[in-house]
Amino acid sequence: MDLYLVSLLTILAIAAISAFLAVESRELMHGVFFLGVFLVTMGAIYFLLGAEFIGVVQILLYAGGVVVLLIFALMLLPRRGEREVIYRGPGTGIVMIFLVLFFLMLGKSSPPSGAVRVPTSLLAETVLSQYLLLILLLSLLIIVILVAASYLVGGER
Amino acid sequence: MFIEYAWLVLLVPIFLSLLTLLIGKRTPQEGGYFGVVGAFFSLILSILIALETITNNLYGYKSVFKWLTIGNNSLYFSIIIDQLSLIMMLIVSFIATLIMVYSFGYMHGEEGLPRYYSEMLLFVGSMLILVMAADFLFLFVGWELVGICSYLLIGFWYKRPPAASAAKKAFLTTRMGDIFMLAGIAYLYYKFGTLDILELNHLAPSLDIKILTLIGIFLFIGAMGKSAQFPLMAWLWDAMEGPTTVSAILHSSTMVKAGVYLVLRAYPIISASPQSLLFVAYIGSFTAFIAATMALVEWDIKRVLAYSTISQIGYMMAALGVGGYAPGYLHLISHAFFKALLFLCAGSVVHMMHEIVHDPWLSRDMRYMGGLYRPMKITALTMFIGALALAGIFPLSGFWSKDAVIEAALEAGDAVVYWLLVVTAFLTAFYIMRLWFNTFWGEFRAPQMLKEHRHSEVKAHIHESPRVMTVPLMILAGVSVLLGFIMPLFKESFAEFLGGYLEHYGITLEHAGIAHIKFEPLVSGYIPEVFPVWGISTIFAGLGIYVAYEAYATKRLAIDKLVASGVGKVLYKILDAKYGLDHLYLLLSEKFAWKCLARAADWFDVKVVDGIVNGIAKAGVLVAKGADMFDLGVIDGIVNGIGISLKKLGGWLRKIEVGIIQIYIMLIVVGAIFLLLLGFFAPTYFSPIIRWLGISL
Amino acid sequence: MNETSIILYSSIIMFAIGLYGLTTRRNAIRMLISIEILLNAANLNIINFAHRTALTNAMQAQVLVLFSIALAAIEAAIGIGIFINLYRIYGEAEIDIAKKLREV
Repeated sequence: MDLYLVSLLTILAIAAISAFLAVESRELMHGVFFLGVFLVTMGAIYFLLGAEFIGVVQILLYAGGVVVLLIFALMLLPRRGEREVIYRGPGTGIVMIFLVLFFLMLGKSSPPSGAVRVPTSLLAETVLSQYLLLILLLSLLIIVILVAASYLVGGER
Repeated sequence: MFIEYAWLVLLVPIFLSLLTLLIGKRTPQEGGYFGVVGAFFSLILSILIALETITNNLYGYKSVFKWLTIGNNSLYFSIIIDQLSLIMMLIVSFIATLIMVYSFGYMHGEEGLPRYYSEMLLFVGSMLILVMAADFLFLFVGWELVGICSYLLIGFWYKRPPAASAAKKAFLTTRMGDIFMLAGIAYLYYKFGTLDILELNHLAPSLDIKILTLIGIFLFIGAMGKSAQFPLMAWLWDAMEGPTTVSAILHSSTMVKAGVYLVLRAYPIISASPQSLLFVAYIGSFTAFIAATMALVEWDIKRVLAYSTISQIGYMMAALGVGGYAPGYLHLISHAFFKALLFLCAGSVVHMMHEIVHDPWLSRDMRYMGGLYRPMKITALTMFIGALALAGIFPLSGFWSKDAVIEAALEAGDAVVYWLLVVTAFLTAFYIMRLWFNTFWGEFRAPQMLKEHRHSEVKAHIHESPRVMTVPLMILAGVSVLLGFIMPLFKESFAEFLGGYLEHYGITLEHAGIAHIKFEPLVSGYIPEVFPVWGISTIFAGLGIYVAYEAYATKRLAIDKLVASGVGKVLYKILDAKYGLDHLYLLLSEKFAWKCLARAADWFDVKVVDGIVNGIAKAGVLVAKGADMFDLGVIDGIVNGIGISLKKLGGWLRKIEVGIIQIYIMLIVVGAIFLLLLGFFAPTYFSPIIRWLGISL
Repeated sequence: MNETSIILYSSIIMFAIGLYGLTTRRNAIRMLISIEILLNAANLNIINFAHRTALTNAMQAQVLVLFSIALAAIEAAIGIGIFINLYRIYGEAEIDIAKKLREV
């Protein structure tokens, strides 16, 4: 086992554990923090996988944006403590089925080989030429969402 | 240089006419000055243009104004300055100026003066349009406009029923003639595609002789209407209901000459067919004769002059018919002056009589006049000069021009024309001297007549007219005398002058100004070639004067007894009834036009037109009903059906909506698992789809 | 077992965790967190496979992931807006409060 694999496994383990804790921790705030850890870990993995730009975006947007958003939301909502979870049964069942199916399928196919690293400049070129329209639409959408969100929260003025 | 402003000659009077209408009330003389200025301006400009044209030989100067262009065709008005139009321009503007000045005195104190001067100015402008027009469209515009002005001016005192109906009669009668003229013009346009008179003069003679004759006659019928030739002449004597100034300018010297002018302008067309020439000559001479006979028994001073006008125009038409182009025009010129003179003198008398008798009809009645020589010397003398000119006495202008006409008739060789004209000369002299003697000789009969007929008392206030009125009289008399001296000297050059116009069309004028055309006399022979022409006319005219003198001055010839019984009475009755022409007109218009035509039009309107309209309405109702059925049944059915089915479907789908979010999530996951299973167990069916989805992503 | 497979299995596990959280929890914020975990697991998988394929395909995959991240962020924002409204109306931020499909 080389260092690369060890570090990879470590990071993945951290990711999985923090994901689980994010979902299962009793305090909401803890959950949000664990989510933050999870997201940063993801970013690290992206870096390892040759997608630097994506990794940066991940950390900026997700860890920096969404987590902060969630924290603010938590502050606006009451912390009365969660009532007892009722639907563990069906949820667990579904997840089990899902896992089983997936591993069954995986047994049938083989993963590809060859390592690729996408340089950011090339990605930028592609995005701004081929997917320009999509980017523009996305930004438009973001603007719309901004307005919608502010309205939803009560900005009728 | 001046010739470029030729359009102003006709535009300025029209413009001033509008101006007078708008602001005339506030100007001194209520628009009279506008009238004088307008006519005078046209006169000066015409003189300048004439001088320029003669010195620089600019004959045939044409100016075209395109006012509507559609594609390749365009409608235009064009004017031409040539031998024909110059003379008329000068005559019209000169006489108009004099009459405008005269109107200051004659129309003084009348109500509606701005209207009068405005209409007079419009008339001057319209007449100038007519004479300056170079294409039939513009000429027709002028033609109709003078007709309208005639209507307006005759009916100036529209509150008097006789005046109103006279105006209507005038307009309608000339309209009858205009229809034929328009038909002729339309045919020419259809055939040759142009309305230009000069071009048509070249092109038209190439038509088939029968059609050409018809066209010529049609055009002449329009001229007959406007120039009051038989049988379209009844309007002219009723037109005397208008002011005397109107009679002087319209119905003696200018407007009625429009018909003659048309013949002069379109001479190549009319003269190309011997039959149409014959028509012209016979109508002209016949009219000359019967109009003169009617003047013998008339007591209304203005009506006598009206008949005289008809008769003299008959002379002109007869002259043109037999080929006397220059004589015809010559007579037009001299007649314009002395007839205007005669009318203005008559107006002077009537104006004064009106103050005494007050009744508009009686103030024109010669039986109430008499002995007016001493108090109205100027009027009497100038009228005497005018009368002699009309009678054709040496050395006045009428002598030369009438002689030229008779000479042309002599050359042509048609006996009927010749003798009619000669006898008419006798009648002319007789009736005009009858007029003069009855007006100015003997005793003033008004007081006695009024007493006899139990009219109001008279104030014997006989006086000469004011200078504004007498000066034009003197000027016109002077012109008649002057022309009398000029005419014999310039007869040759005048013929040459006019010949310049006809030369373009291959018609030459011979020594006496007679055109070299083919006139075929209908009745030849019986013409004494022994005496010279002036001898014949002088004898007959002198005879006429003598008879009148004996009858009315010295009363040695008892005319009264002659007409009291026997043949005389019959003749008198016929003449007095104007050959029944008035009755004929009344019959035609009332019985025929109103009753029959109106009834027929009414039947047509009710049965046919209303039938069509009602039928369309009924069809419309049927269509509406059908559409309604379709709309309600079919379309509404479809719409409602869709609604109902959607409602059912909605009710069915509603069962999926639960509202509990976890259920939704479950459903999503279950769906995803389902897809996975499909992909796993039946990849061959679904992999293309998934691949397609993957590609589209 | 190479790197790709490891990451693949890990992403599946993370996906399962997220799914578990989504179906099990009732709090709105918790569910939002779970959704984020789900999306991230999916993105990880895509990048994982993109690492092993041709360049152009890899680029397309990364663009996809880019959009996915952006959209996830957006959707989180809207979600929070809705949850705040939910709280205002009901006084609680539990999902199953709003079960009635008509106006409150």
